[in-house]
Amino acid sequence: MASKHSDTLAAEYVLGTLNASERAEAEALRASDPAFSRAVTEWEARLAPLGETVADVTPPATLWSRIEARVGQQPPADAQLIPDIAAQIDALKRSLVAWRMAAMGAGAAAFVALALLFANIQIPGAPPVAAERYVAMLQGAEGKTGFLITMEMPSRQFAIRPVSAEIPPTKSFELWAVMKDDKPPMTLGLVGTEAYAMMDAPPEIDREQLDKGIQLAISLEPEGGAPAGQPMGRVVFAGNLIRQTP
Amino acid sequence: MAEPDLKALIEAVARGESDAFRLLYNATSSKLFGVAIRILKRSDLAEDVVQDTYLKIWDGAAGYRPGFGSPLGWMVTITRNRAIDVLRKRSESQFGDDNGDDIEDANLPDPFRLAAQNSDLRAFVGCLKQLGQQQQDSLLLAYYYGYTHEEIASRFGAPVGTVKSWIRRGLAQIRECLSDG
Repeated sequence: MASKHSDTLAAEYVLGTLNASERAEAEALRASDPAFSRAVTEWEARLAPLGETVADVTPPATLWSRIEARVGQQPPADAQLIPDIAAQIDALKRSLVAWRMAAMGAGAAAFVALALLFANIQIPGAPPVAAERYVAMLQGAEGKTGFLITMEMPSRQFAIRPVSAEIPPTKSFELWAVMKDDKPPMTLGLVGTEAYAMMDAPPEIDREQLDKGIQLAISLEPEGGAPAGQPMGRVVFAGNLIRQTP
Repeated sequence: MAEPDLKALIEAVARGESDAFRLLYNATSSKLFGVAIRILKRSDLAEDVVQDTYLKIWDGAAGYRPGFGSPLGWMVTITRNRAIDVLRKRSESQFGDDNGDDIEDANLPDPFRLAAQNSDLRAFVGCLKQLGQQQQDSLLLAYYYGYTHEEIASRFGAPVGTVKSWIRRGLAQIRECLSDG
């Protein structure tokens, strides 16, 4: 059994009234003195009932994502919600090297195809096209809507409207377009949570891709965005970009 | 209410079951965040502390012992301990930073009113009631807000030595009283 003095110290340590240096002493004692360590545990158990009287305060929704991201590589709980996109991004991350090698060969052909498509859209004197609108509701864990994104064709402007999303400190949200073909996700840039934002769609997002189906995803990346130009963090929100107008 | 499940959930979490982890988080995170934010008064710091608590449980490093009593009380203990560590380390680097002190008293939990809910708490409160008012208040301020002897002393306008002995005697009486019960 701990002496009277060390039992008092254990009680004050658990209660929390010790200042920093006294506390450090108590911690050292706890690690080295089994009797003291037992006294601490006993005091913890004695005072624990009080802890349950503290009023609940709901933590920010992003806390769970942070914890989940820290516990390792197992699939996040919201993977079921957005299975294809999460799996696709995973697969793409793994095959990034293979893809880069293939891209060197495919690059020339892709460039030609792109040039043709571009030319197609910008034929001078072509009849004006009525605006088409596409919309994506980006959802995260538990079906919570994080962002509402619309895109107009042919102006190719994305309008990004945060609904309910919080960015953890020292992190950024990065928006990606995931196309149906085996291209890696394409970054559309960083998105904030403060207000409405507009950004221009890259030329790769064209009618053909829109018809095939494009998914938008937001991943949690280090501040300033994914360093390698590919999503490294967890996908926190995702949704399909679908045509809204007839 | 969810109490009976927590023990099983904690064990499942320590075995690496991620579904159980999510359930445990859903059932307990508001309590733990409530404990941490009351002590730290800053959401970012409180979030870090709550995160540390769950990671510790996930790693199995915290080692729940059934003899401890309530699993939620045990989780709160881990969170409080960590929150007070952070608080002391911060006050060392910015001594005298009293921000947010004025929001407190209105929110001081009332263990007496809540005591009916749980038998451990009933016993504890029964013992707490036998102390003098200032002893009770000192203990509760320390417990809920992580005050040091010095901070409680300045709050009551009493010498630090007096506050120390209130608290020491109070704790000794509670210990006595609980072992009699």
